[in-house]
Amino acid sequence: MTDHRVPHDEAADRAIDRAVREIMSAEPSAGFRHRVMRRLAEPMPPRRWTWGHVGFAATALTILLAFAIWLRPAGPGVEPAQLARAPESPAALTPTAPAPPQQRPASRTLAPSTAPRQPATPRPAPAPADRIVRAASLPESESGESVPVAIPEPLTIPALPVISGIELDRIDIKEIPIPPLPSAGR
Amino acid sequence: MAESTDCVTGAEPVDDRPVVAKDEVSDLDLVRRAQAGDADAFGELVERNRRAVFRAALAALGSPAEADDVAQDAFVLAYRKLHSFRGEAAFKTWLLAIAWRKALDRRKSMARWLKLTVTPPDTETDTNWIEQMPGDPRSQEDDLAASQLQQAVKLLIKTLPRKLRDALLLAGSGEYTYEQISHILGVPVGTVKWRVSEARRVLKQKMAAVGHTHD
Repeated sequence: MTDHRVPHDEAADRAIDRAVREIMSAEPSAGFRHRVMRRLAEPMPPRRWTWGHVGFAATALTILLAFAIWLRPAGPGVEPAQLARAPESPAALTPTAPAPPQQRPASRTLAPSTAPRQPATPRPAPAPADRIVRAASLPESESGESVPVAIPEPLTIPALPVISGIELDRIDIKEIPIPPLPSAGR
Repeated sequence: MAESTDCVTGAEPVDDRPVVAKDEVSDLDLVRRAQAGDADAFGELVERNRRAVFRAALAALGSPAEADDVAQDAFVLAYRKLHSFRGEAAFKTWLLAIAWRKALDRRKSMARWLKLTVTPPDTETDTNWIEQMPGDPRSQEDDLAASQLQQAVKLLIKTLPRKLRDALLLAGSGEYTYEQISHILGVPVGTVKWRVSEARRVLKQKMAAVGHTHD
């Protein structure tokens, strides 16, 4: 751009000043103050939701849900380790359903284990023998042994109370005469 | 607040505002009264500063109608936030900063709207509607060769980069001191002066390019 002839500075400056003043010569509209004061007297408009707000709320909700799922304690199910250690009495080892002959015997708890046990943790009370069942249809572990399952206590439903002293009106059902259907003449 | 000399020409700024008596209350007193719930006091602040706020918005937007709307928004927002004004800076400076932010927001939304409806977006992200007016400055300059110098310069001002144009228009309006412009733009005073000077240099180059010389 050095080949361009730079106009005389003073004249160019005057032209620029005039142009800038012309651009900036506009005035606020008449009644500006009145309009501002009228807007101030109006109640504040409710805060509008923008997409930014919606996105922020959705992100926050997702994070909260993720934390809630992550921090949720384990469910009331029985730990498999407890189930495996539960049948210690011989009666508990009796299968209620005959296992196939090729099935490996009993559970891992009966097999002599070389792994040291951990007596530090208190062992839960063994389940009663009659509460342990073995089902041949239950999925087997990799070693082919069946998994004992604890049965929950039987559900007892109290009998509904009989309400006496209520007399229902006799319902008379009148017979409605039904005319014979017209025969379809074929 | 003491008036300063014109940032561009060094002349006294043209001020046709009503003459304010010296015994009249200051802006700060009016602010305190407005903070206490005196709406008339805020109305007086509006009257005193409406032009400065309007022209700041005009420098950013280039449209008097848009500038008027944004100036009203700025006053309404200032009134809502008046409790947060502590008086560290002059009320006018604080108000101008609010107005400038409002104007920039409007300029961005206008640019987005234009990009969606008028032309595909340019590769340069830092553009706005004023900069996009002359898509090709060269061809525009050819058209301007036959027009009058004043109109040519006005159009050339619109082709300036945004930062240079903002500084030039704010300084050239005669409404603000360099310190106020510095506060509005959020840059040091030296940067404001450099931008004004650079804007002039670029404009002169463009004027020479389209054949407007003054020998």
